[in-house]
Amino acid sequence: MKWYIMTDLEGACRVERWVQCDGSELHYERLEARRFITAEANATAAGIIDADPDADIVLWDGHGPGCIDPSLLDPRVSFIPHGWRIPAPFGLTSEFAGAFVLGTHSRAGTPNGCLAHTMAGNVIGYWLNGREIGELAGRMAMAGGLPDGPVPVLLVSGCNFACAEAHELVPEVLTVETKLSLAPERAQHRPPATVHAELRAQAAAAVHARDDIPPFVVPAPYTVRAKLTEGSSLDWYLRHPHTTRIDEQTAEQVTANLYETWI
Amino acid sequence: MKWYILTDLEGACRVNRWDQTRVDELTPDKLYARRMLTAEINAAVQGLYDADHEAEILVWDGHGNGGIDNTLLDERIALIARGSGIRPPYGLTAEHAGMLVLGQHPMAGTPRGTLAHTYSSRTVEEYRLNGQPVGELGARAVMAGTLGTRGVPTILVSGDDLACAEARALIPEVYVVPTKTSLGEELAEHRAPAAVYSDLREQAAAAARAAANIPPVRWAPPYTLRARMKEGFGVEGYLRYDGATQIDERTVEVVTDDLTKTWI
Ligand SMILES: [Zn+2]
Ligand SMILES: [Zn+2]
Repeated sequence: MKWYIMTDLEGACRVERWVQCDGSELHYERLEARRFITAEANATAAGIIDADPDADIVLWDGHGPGCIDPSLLDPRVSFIPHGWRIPAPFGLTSEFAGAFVLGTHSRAGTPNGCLAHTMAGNVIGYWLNGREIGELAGRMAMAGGLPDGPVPVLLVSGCNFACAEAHELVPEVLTVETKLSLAPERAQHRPPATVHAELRAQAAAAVHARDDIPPFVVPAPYTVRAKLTEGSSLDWYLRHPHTTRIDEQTAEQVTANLYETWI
Repeated sequence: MKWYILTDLEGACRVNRWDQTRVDELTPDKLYARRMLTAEINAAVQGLYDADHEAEILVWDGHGNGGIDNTLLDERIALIARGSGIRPPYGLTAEHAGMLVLGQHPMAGTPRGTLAHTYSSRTVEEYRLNGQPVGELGARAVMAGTLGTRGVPTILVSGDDLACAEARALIPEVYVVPTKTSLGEELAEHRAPAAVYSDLREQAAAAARAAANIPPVRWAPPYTLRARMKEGFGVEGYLRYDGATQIDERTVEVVTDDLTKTWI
């Protein structure tokens, strides 16, 4: 069967500072961080293969400037490199039996959320049909809203807030906590060996439980709203179809296809 | 059982210059120092597991700009990375069966002490706790002793010979592992790292087995913590702490029943 893994970086174990995540230069701290999330991706892939030896796994590196170290990534995994080079839904199709979302951080404005943000530093918040969402909910809704049929997100890993958010969206989803968020750039990290063992076991369990974990389906049409910090430009948002300016800081889109949006 | 490891960088084997520890950038010298300390932590961790197969270990990187190479750190342990922004007691709780202090340097003003300082190597002349001069080791050991109904004992200290002596003076029962002999501010004779690692592993195991018999440094409240700055440095930064009183131009004092509310 086909399984889809998407990775972000900020929610990985032993990642807690922006300097580990941002920028175009691959300096030491970024290389370090890439190794951490790549090890988590490998543990997840191993678990999927434990449960489904013929697994066909595709991984999309969903962190803007990239977070996967390709030289360390499990060679059994197909790989779509980072960022925004491919349009949504980022290689995900309805043929996939399930999706795994790794390295998840909490959404913008989460108190004490380690590396909490939604897409970019100037985003105050995103809303989907009136509900405040972060990247996790956006991606889960995208998977649940594919035109040829929904794909369930089976497993989410990340900080404690990200895992709690996943359970709020879909109570049945399996989660693996990587760290306890303490502050914007501070966390108490769980032992990586424990995180990797849990990822492997939970990924296998998720494959087995696939039919019992519902997709996150938000009914169409979708009303997507983005509110930015004062002085930010809405231009990028307004270039999306069916999008209007609500006020100086807010754009809104109404669409039938979630992958037309910016989430 | 739960174990807590507090690390600093200046006391690690083969570390003896400020340009190995003070820099924020990951220079080759800093990367090397971090690797040396991380190897010592891993050796002590191995010793804890030798004595306690179920050990639950939390390490806090207590060196301001970071002293641990997280990619090399034993993957079985939990981590609070780096120094700034975190408040006492730095993840240490009364449930921890013992505290290990690695990479420790001597207190500010210690003659011939390699990289000797107390908290801020640039600004602090001396800390006193209840009138007694304390360095980082003493301050943290006393703080650990205040937690819970019994206090957490400091069971093992590694660092240069003077840091080890400082520990023994305060806690006669503590296990120590010297990493080097201090010869001057930026000079030391380093022991063979391999010998340091095997000592750390052995002594950490011995300390864990003996932990129940190592008394916490348990001083009765109230605590009077006094900080004196070097000439030319003021105490402004300290005055935002509850109850802090300025004594003179470069001295500040706080009297409290709760050391975790101070700059300790
Ligand atoms: Zn990211
Ligand atoms: Zn230090």
